[in-house]
Amino acid sequence: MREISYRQALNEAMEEEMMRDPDVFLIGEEVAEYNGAYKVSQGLLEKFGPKRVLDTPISEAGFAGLGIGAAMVGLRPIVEFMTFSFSLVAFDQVVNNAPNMLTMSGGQFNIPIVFRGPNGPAHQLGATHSHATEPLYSNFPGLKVAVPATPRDAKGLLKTAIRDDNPVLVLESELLYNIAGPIEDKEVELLIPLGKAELKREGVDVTIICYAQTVRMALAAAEYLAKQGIQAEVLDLRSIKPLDRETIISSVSKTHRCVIAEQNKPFCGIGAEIAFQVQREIFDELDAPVLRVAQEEVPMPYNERLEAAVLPSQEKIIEAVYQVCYL
Amino acid sequence: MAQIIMPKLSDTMTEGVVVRWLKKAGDVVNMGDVLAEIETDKATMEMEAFDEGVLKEVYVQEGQKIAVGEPIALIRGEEEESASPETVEKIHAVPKRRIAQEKARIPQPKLAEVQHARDTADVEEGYSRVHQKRAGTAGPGAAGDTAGGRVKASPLARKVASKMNLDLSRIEGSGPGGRIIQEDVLAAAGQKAVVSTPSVVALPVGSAAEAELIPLTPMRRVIAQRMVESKSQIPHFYLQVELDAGPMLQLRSQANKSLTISGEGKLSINDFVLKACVEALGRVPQVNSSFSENGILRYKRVHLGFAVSLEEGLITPIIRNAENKSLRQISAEAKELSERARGKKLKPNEYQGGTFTVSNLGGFDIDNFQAIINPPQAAILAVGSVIKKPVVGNQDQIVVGHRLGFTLCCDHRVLDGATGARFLQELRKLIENPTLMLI
Repeated sequence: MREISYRQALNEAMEEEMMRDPDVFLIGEEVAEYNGAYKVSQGLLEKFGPKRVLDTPISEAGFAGLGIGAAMVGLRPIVEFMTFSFSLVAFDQVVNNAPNMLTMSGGQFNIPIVFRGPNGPAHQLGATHSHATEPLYSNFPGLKVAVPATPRDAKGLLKTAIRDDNPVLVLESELLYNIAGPIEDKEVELLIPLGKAELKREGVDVTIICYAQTVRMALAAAEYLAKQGIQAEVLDLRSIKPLDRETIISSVSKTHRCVIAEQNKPFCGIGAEIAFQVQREIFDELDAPVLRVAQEEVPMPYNERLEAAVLPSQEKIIEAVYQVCYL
Repeated sequence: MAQIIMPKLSDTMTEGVVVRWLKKAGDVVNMGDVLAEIETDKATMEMEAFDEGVLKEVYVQEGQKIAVGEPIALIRGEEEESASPETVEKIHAVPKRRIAQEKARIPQPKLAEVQHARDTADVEEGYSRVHQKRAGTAGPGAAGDTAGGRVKASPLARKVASKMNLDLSRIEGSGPGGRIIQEDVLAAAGQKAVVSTPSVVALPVGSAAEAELIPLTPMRRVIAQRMVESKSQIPHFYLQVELDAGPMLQLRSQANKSLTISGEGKLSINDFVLKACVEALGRVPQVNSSFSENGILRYKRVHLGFAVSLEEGLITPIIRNAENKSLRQISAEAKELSERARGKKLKPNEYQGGTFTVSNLGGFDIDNFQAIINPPQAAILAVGSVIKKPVVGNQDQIVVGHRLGFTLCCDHRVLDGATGARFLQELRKLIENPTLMLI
């Protein structure tokens, strides 16, 4: 098995899908001539030409709407947001037009669109550029939300998203673009279904649910805990919506304890929803209250140390595990 | 309880040397006391305590180099001696410890404030933690004594208790605020597995012999009761083996030479046997169990008991969570517990709740013997002394062997012969290749 970076995995996914289907095209700020602000679209302009790889003005609402219009007439746009913090400018397009068109047109127009780009805090980007938007978008029926943590998942999920006949958001992470990981050879068609979590590590004492940026923290925490005799099961959600309830429930039924490590703010966050589902389904299996590790409830500080204090971390996950294990 | 770790005292520091301990195990430590001098890549600095209590254990010798973040000592709060779990706090890093201190300084919110905070922001976790701590200050107790007689139990504990037909109000909760958790129910079930305790019925005494009446001490009475109970209710069977103790004796004398030079406690044969049992229990976990009417309870942790003889009887101190402990830790703990056992200084939680027991009469020149199971455990290992005798060597020649006799005494309700035999096979592997215990 070869290893490639998360960035390269996304690039391969787009390249393969654009080769396969001439209706697929990419638009966004700097995606063409500059090869993408984070170089995710490297080489695509050269390969597919300016009709299929388009630079846009700095006007998120404009090009997100343009994508939706193109999708209504049968194309399959990939809309890159330079960061999902900027997608908020196009919020109305993403949450109102994209997911509602199918219902409101009485089934006449489905919107096979992908919105993708880096999401969540990176490093010292300050309060306005550090938004983890997954709870916002997961709140809207009609939107699917993928949150890959590894190069393999990034490629497999993005390819699946492009083939989906309805709007899908692929929430990447600036902090993950450079990480490398094992992946199937290029000849192998890699499609990872939405709504399927992955068991990253088996354990019996506690389930740590994580996704995207928190997966590495959770795995490191589990490694540390194992040395103390606590066997943590680590579950990478991979998609927030659809949510793999079945795998969550079966894991927590086994361990009787659950810690959710999320990269967003806690209030009305992903952890809140999962905690609800868990207590709703398997109240009698819980031996401790469900805990979550999230960002602190403040605007993201620019100061590096304050930022570190606000973000979820391996240490905070370990602390939460101790609590649910009554240690 | 606070784990003290090697702090990161400079940006570039990756490891540090404990130059000198200014406190030793057993010392009372106040916040701000200097615990040790740490040499970093830049300078020698004083490391202060951020917790108070008793310095329970020092993991690192003076002069030893330790990576940043590795544990170097353990402080336990004075009132925590009986370790009520909700007060146990683990601390990982200096900055975090500071945060914990900051938190401790925050006055406990008044109810109205809490309500307001809950209404306006998400402070759920923080709130419940404060709340639990406050509720927890009462310490764990019989759950029934919570206000209004409501029993606090986790949903899982309720389910398990109802399946086993156990009355929750009679179970002591070890969770925050006395919450009964699954482990408490299983522990209670394990005790119940002993079922009704028969009173000790004395057999008629022959009239011929003249006798002096020695009154029963409480300990004698308990031993009598429990042994009658065990031998009359538990179908015992015995598996006997003789092992080659040569490699272990060699390793031990080698290790002890170095330990003597560094002025540390020596390792006993029994220490090796205890460690081997812990490893073997990990490999054959069926032996680490109890019988109960509702099923076999298989324990996740190994709480290893070992018999210590006293003038008026014997007691079995417990090495808790032994599965995580090295040979040296087990040795040190066994030594410390034995000493306190002889001084009758053990607390109940230090001799109750074992999951397996080792009884060693090697010191009394016993070749091999059978023991009585310590209920509700499923097995006990009887250990004899190392005896020199002629054995058949690899090339069918007669050589001098150092032979060690083990008898595994099993509860047939839980274990079958083959399972017990597999356990002994694992024990043999470990004792005869003792370096396996070190890795």
